[in-house]
Amino acid sequence: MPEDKKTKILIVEDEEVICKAYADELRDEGFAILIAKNGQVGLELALREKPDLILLDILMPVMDGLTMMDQLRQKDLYGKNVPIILLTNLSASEEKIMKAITKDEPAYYLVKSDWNLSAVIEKIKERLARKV
Amino acid sequence: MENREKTTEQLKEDLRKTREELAIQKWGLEKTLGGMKVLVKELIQKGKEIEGAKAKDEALLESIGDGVIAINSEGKIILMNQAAQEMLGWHPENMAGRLVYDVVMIEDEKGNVIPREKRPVYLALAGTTTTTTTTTTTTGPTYVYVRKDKTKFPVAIKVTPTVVDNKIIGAVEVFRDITKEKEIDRAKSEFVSLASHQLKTPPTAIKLLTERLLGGKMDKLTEKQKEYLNDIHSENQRSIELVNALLNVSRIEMGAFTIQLNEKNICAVVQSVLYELKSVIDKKQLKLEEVHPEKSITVPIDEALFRMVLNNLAMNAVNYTAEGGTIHIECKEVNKGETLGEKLFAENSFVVVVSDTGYGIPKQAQDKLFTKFFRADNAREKHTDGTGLGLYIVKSILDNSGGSIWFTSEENKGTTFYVAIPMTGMHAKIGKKELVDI
Repeated sequence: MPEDKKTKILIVEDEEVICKAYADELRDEGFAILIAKNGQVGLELALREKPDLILLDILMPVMDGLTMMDQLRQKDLYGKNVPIILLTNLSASEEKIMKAITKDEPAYYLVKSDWNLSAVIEKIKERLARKV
Repeated sequence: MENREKTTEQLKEDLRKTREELAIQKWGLEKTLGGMKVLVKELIQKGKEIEGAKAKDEALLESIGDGVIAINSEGKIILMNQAAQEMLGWHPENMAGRLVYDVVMIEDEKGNVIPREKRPVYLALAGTTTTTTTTTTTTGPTYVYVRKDKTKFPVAIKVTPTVVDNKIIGAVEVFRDITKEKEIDRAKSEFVSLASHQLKTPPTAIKLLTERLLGGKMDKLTEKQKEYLNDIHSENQRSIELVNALLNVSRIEMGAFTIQLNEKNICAVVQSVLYELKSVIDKKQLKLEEVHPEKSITVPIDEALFRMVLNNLAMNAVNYTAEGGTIHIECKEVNKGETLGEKLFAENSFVVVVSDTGYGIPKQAQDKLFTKFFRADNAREKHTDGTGLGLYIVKSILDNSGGSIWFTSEENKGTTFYVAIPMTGMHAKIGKKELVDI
């Protein structure tokens, strides 16, 4: 399948090894992958390339995931609607996180250490199928 | 004539006698006066001593670092020490006689004013509690005092009614600014959250990579390689579980976790927890017996926490019972006054009984079972991984929510755990965090 026909997924994650694992698996599943190491780069990349779904880590240098999500949601129609899956090791009970989830409506909040690779892929496919 | 006239001699004698008497009386009066002067001197001295003692007492009271407010039965301030005045910003006015409710403004953490009837001072005066304590950072709601200039500070309050002849004649409140303690607690809590996040990063990477290798999308593996990779994956999973358990323990110790209640069909929750464990139970060829009452029972519970409790006990039953054994789970309502599991019930309760035909808990291990990191020797032998924190967390959840847990066990015969929750429901608890699923 030619590159530009593939579904594009943006992975915003500062931990190289973790990023690599998700990227490699998703590529094997036939997705086109974009990578950003922090929220700032992630925001620029998202607005420029308009991926079909974003995997977003929370704790990152320069700009964290919640800030990026918030800014993205306010940019344009694309930013408002693009499905975002928060992938983090923080537990969702932090007040700041709960507020962000309520305001910016990510599709899912997954705690990395609790989710098998294949289960995450399933969730991604599920969400993408819903949009189409 | 002779009787009426006294001779000059007699008159002189009379005069002399009168003078003598007067002299004696004068001497007596002078003595009395002298005695009174001494008495007055002593009284003045005593007065000075009392004043000195009073001044010392006042200085003592004034020097108490905590705020002290004494009120009468109407709530009027009898005494407000310097510390109290300074903390509340009312210094140096004279507070005596003013109504404490007008002088000391109190709110909750969110800024809502606490109504008079709910205030610790009011409750103490009303005699509804022997000592009203809203304590520090870990238990009870957090109260905030509002200063005269409208700035606020978190406060630890203790109010005790003053009782004379069985009547409440007033109350004494002692309070403390706990801004510093709250800061420290917040810092501790943030540190723990951050630390557990950082601790989970490498294991997460290992988890994902082993899953990639085992997933079949990469080069084919030998049987031995698959075996080792599976081992790496499960050992790594233990690390993750340990971090999660420690995070829960920390939140429990700091009293920071929340208990939120919802009315639930509690037997249905039990059934769903067991349903999720079906595959593990079948794998070990264990027989599962479930007994539920005919009618559905609804109890206000925090479902996530209740599931954690049940899951832990059920998994223990699975892990510590040999293949082919039986696990028996029963739900029932027990009324006040009835006995179950050798325990007399003080209130109507919902009980879950988790029973197994497993290895049992040795007598010497039984009273340490709920302590942190404790694992009985036979448990360690049969099932090497296990954090030793599960039962501690389970007991803490139940202790904090008004429930209870106990067990009976015989080595090599089996164990029966009992979990009781009052029919009126778990007790809610305000906290900033939730416990992590383990």
